[in-house]
Amino acid sequence: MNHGPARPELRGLVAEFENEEAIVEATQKTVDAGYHHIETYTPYPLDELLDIQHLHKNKVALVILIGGLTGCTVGFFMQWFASVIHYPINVGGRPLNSWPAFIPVMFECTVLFASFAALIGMMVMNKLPRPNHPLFDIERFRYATQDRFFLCIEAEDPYFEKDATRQFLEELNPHEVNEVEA
Amino acid sequence: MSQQDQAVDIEKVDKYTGDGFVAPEYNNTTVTQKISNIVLRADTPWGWYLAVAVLLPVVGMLGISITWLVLIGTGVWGLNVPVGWGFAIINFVWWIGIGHAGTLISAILHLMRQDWRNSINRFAEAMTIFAVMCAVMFPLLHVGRPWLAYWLLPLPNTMSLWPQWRSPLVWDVFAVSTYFTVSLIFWYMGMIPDLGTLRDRAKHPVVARIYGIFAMGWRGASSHWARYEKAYLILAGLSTPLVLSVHSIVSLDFAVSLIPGWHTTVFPPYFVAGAIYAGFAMVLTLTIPVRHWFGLQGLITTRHLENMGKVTLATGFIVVYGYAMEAFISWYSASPYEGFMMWNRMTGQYAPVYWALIFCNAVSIQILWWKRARRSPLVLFIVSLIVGVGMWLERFVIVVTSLANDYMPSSWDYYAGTIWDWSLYIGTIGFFLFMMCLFIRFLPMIPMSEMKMIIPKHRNKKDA
Amino acid sequence: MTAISSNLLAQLNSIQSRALTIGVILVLGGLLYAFATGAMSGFYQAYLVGYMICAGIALVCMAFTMLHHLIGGRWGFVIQRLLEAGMSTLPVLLVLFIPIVLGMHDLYHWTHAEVVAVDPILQHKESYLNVPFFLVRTVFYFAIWITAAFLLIRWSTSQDASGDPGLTDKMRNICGPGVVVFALTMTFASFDWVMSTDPHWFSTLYGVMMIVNAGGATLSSIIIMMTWLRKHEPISKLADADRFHDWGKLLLAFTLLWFYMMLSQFLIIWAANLPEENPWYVHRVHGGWEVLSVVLVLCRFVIAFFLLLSIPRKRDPRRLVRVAWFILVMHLVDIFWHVAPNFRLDGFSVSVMDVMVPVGLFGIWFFFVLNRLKRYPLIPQKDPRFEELVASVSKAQVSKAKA
Repeated sequence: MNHGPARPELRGLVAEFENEEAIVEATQKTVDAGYHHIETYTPYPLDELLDIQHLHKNKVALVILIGGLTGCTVGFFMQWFASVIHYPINVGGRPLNSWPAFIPVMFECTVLFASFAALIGMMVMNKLPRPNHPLFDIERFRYATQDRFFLCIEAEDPYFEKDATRQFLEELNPHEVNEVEA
Repeated sequence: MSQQDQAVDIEKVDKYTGDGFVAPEYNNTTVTQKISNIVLRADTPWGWYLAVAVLLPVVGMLGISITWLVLIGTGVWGLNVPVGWGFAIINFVWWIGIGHAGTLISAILHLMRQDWRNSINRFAEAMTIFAVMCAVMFPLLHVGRPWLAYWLLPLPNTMSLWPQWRSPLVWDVFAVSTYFTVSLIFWYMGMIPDLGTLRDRAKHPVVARIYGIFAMGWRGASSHWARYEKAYLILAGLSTPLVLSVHSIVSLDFAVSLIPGWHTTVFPPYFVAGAIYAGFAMVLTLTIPVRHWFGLQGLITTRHLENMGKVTLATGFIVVYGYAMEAFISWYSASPYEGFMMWNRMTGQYAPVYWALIFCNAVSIQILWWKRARRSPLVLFIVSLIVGVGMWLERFVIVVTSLANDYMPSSWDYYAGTIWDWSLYIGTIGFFLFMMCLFIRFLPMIPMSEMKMIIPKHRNKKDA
Repeated sequence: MTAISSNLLAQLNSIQSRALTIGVILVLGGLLYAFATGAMSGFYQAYLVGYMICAGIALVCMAFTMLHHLIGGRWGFVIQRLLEAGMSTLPVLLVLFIPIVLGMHDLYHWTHAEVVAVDPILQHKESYLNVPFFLVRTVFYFAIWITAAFLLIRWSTSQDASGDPGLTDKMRNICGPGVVVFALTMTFASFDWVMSTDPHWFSTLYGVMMIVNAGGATLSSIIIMMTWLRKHEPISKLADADRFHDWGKLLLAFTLLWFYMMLSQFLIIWAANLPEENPWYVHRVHGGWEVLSVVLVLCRFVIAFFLLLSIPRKRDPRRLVRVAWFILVMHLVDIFWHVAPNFRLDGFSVSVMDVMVPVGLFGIWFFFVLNRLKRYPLIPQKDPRFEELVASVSKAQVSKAKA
């Protein structure tokens, strides 16, 4: 708990809700009220929240596609270089560039690179790993990964005003409202 | 009217079918408690300790078998001149196949929006990873000098030697290592939210810290979920053709050769079906006791078992279709070698093995046509064990009968595994089960976040 | 009782008569061309191509109906009547088989006694590949298929009247064994009708391959039909973007499977390079056929795959239907590629018949599909799963509207 005057390092206000319907309704109202710098924290993905927060568009698929195409190319050139350029050897009269035989490894490389792109891309874009986060200082935030739902209005939002926003959140009928320190 | 009557009727048969695939006592809170308590609480069932106590010596036996093999050489196995591929390849294919059901359950059923897979996918994925670990041991040991196994990789070297890219054995190296890596990524990624839950629920700070490191600061932000879900879905999309490719490439180890009984075009899809068949059997073999011991009947319900029974029956038929095609074409091809191979399988020195495999894989599953059998854990357990054995016998028949009696009668021989073959094989089974024990004790065996997605919403309201 | 709206009925009637007219003109035109040029063999080859397309789709319609009854799910419900219309043509296909019987001497080398007399391999196969047994097998396959199709259609339509949910269980009961029997009979039918046009060659994969090929064509046809029907009640309510997404995903899966089968068979035969197997591919990579082979793989797999990868494209019927048409045309090329090189050993050649006859036959066959489709309600409304589907679709639409 912080005492004394409001600290400029305030990061935002976070409200806790008990179930899915409550968080969806509250988030909708928050967006309707004009807040944009908001984030919700839920134990499992809620499609409705992604709709409200316009989170459906992201670049994950593109990153994975690039990863896959890179893998495919690397897979082919690795085999082609070894069999045609660096150490050409005649095996049973097969052509040096035996592309039909290269397909399996090309495919495996495609999937391998694309999977790494998926994991690393997801991590980097989500700015993870980040083992510590100001939200974790809130005692009850540990329920965000269990059975409670949290809505955070960030201080950088142009409409954010500590007391008015707190008042606004209280009216959404949350279980509790907390301050997030920076 | 009659529709409602029917619904009530089903209700009587099984109290868990009323409300989807999760028993009525579970909501967001209770499902979290139930699953995370298995990991975080100290009162592990005594059966778990007993299992570990029994399995540790078996793992020790694996260690001894490997040590002896490395000290003496592959001569300790029963290999001889025509049969250069024996237990090592049989076990390799068997284990890889078992792993495939894990990917099937988690990826393909996820793409098909079959939500019932949510309660068994984590378990099945763990099975995949440990099964692939067991599988990989065999070719590595079979090369004779395992410390030189890195020669299989395309590493630049002073003699400018490269792997033979036209060889399916090299494709295998890529397929299996990719499969292992991607399965691990998929498994780990699916677990991140649950690791966060364990971090937040752990009482002991050290335990919380350990789970926290692996959770990487997951906090369930919706923007994170959006990217996470997308990446997870695409990973499922990638894993699906991958799982097909892996066992297809394993089948090409055989099919690309000229050995009668190996060289046949149906092998890729037929091996894939066989893999899923054996894998589903293994999922049943493991989940039935585990759900019993840990009281998970409300999360892995009779309906799950029934569905798995249906998949077992369906894949079993694809495998039988493969047998039928092999048998018919061996005659239709008019090739005397193919014809002899089939005749030799059915009547030759390994005929009992062949007919045992037909019994295990084709006959035993017919009982699953009956709904009552599919809903009986005991029947399913027995059938799944029989199928597991049957699929091992199938690989034995493919590998050994074709090699032992190949083109040249003067080189024919008889092959049987030695005690070291068996001890290594049983050792890997012990290792696999031991790893599964560690998994169910230290990681959430049912995905909590995904279970919460299929729990009916009204259960989370206070008045409900 | 009017099963469907008069507006739709009028449209169906006009398409139907056009399909029949164009179909008959094209097939007869092809026949005349064959008479004029003396290329009857070419006519029969083209006829076999067209026949395999129609029969493949009709049979996979039956398999999809069975899978739908077994697995359930929303993908199959809206198209159930369409699938039933497709498989209702099986008796017609039995009649349409007559020209193949007439052309057996041109199509199947093993019917020539003088060839068999000097060919030990064909002598070995004679107990299987002989004319009476071939005909008996064909009649046997059709007997099974027609019985299964008849029962499934009859129970489904009588449920429309009675609303008896027990009929769903009845259908389910025959569908389990039905799928098994379907796989075996279609496999042997493709061995008999297509694989034996090159009587020396054999491939254990061939049956699965033909089933997968027909599966892609069937899904394309479904998407084409549904894109058109979605403008009409009651389909308009049920065939939303989610359904097209489902069918698009299935089409993508079948596109991948198509390539998987092609590659598996090719790689195994290419790597082993055995003289008893490789002629089939030698015919297809020499004398101009290699161009067709490359075009086929490029279009049927590479282009189709990348087109189907996009989610917005799968969800938009107007864009998806273009891919479906593309794949359907490629299916014609695909079956042509399976049949024609076995005969045209001197090199690539194609005649107008190769387009006219399959397209015409497809038109005639399509006449019978529509003939069945227009006589019954487009949705099995009394099916016990219907309510659930309507509820889930309207729920999805409500949540979309909110967003």
